[in-house]
Amino acid sequence: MKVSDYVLERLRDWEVEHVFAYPGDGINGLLAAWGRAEDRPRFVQARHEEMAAFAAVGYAKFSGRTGVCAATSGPGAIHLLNGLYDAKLDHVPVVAIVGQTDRSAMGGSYQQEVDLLSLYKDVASEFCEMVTVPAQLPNVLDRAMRIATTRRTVTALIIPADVQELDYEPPAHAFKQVPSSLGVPHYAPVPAEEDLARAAAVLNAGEKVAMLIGQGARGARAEVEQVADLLGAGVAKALLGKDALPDTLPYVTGSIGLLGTRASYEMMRDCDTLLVVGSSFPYTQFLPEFGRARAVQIDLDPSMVGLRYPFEVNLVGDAGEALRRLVPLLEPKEDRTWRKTVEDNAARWWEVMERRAEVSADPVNPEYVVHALDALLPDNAIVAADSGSAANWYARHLRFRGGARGSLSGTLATMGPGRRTRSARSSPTRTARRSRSSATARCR
Amino acid sequence: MNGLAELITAAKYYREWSDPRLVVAVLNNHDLNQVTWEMRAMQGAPQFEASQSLPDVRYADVAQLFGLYGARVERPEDVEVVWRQALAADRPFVIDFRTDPAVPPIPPHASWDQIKAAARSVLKGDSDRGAVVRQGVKAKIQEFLPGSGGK
Repeated sequence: MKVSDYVLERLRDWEVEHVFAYPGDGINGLLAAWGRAEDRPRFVQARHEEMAAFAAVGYAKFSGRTGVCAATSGPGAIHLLNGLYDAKLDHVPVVAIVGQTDRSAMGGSYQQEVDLLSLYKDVASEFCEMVTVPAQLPNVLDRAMRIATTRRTVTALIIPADVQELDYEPPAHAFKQVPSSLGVPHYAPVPAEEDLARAAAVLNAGEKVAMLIGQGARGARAEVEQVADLLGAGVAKALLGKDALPDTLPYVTGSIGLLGTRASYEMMRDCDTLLVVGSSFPYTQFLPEFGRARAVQIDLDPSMVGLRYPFEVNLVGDAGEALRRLVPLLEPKEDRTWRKTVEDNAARWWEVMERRAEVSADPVNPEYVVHALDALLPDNAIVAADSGSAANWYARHLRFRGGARGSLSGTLATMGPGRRTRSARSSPTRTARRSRSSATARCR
Repeated sequence: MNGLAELITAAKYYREWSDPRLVVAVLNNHDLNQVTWEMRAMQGAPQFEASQSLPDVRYADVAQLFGLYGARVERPEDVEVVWRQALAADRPFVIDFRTDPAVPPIPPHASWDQIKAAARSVLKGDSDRGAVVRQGVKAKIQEFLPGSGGK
């Protein structure tokens, strides 16, 4: 068994089903191994490495699993970068496997020789390693998978072409050898009890509570609804969290920010308490004015918590676990006046959207195009929007219902990802929306 | 434009998908529209045609060339019909919606300054000119119509 055979075997052991890739002679060893392995995991061929990376990111965003992409040395590795940054900035796990020239040519200013360790140092800052001897495997591959998955980021493995062709030798039971094992156990961090109590005190003291949720709240729909009901709160959604809660709930004000709704804007302007769950929405000017609201944040990542706003209490933990523990500490708000105001504003917004869609244009009003889709969108649709003016209409006119999913390049706001390659493992309708009107950082 | 090339990828694989539906909607307005609006709103700058204007591409024809379905929509009354066709198709479907670049993505706080900036840019010789002002006023006015609560 060659190193390249072993890499594919280990990916299968990690239950990787697809590798989104584009071939090149820097990974010829891997391609030959793919042939021997009867295309397992499935090699999904894009037209360009950047799009292969977007496909891996889309797979990660919509499946909740870790995406894997592969490319050749030099130009192939360079092309992957933009797609990989989309994963890094939106915090989804993607592993990149790239080739490199033979070890004997390194440092020789050789054909297609690029210093990939330096090039990938930023995008794969959490883990980027070159395999120079077979016994580094499976450890470095296992770490690439595990770190990408648990830190929801990009990791990279660089495998020189000649190393791919070496006979595989596992690490021995000896000094300077690093054996490894598979898998990421399930876990969910929980905030400390005293922090939960402090958070509850802030939320109980408020009379006008606004919630802002992001993609981190996606797995906590029931808990978000329960807490919003107890607090009489309205819920605004950051763009990456658009599918975290159905827009059909009357107290959901929809998107926030420049692409957002007037209802979200007014809720943030007028609230006295803010609860942010699983979002790093960057535009502070769309949050309450400083000193006007007391704020609590729940975030999974201790290095991201406290960012973007002067929060009074920061809870580090899984959204669902934290909210479940918060519920018994919350006092139900008897006065529903605020909730009613939020609901009225949200309802008014949808009426405004209806009318804006009806405005005549030359020849077709783009708002009408998306508004018309809203009524037809299946409950299990997967919607990918590209960056640009189309993202406005995606944010404002589409109401996700049921299990509909949606995403875009939320933080990098790059053009390109609207046409992500779909995977073969699930079946809902894909709707990709592109705009020949695009390419700007205005995507929140 | 990378997305256009990836239609080839969709054409290559869709027969293997458990659900072959993939709808790609292009809002074809011949303009790099969001950046154009940012220029108008933030710098009050007129549209720089050399950077902002995009050639018309027959996206639906390209899709058909690749073996997919495609349709161009140039009339509002066809919008819903074609969405329905695409959502019921047995393969990927590209809809080329010919949309108006003059429909403004008015921000939720819609300051009059920004609307004025847009108007200034138009006066300075923006190619969309009258259409932009007309469309902006028409869209904003919807928030103040009777029955919407008035404010």
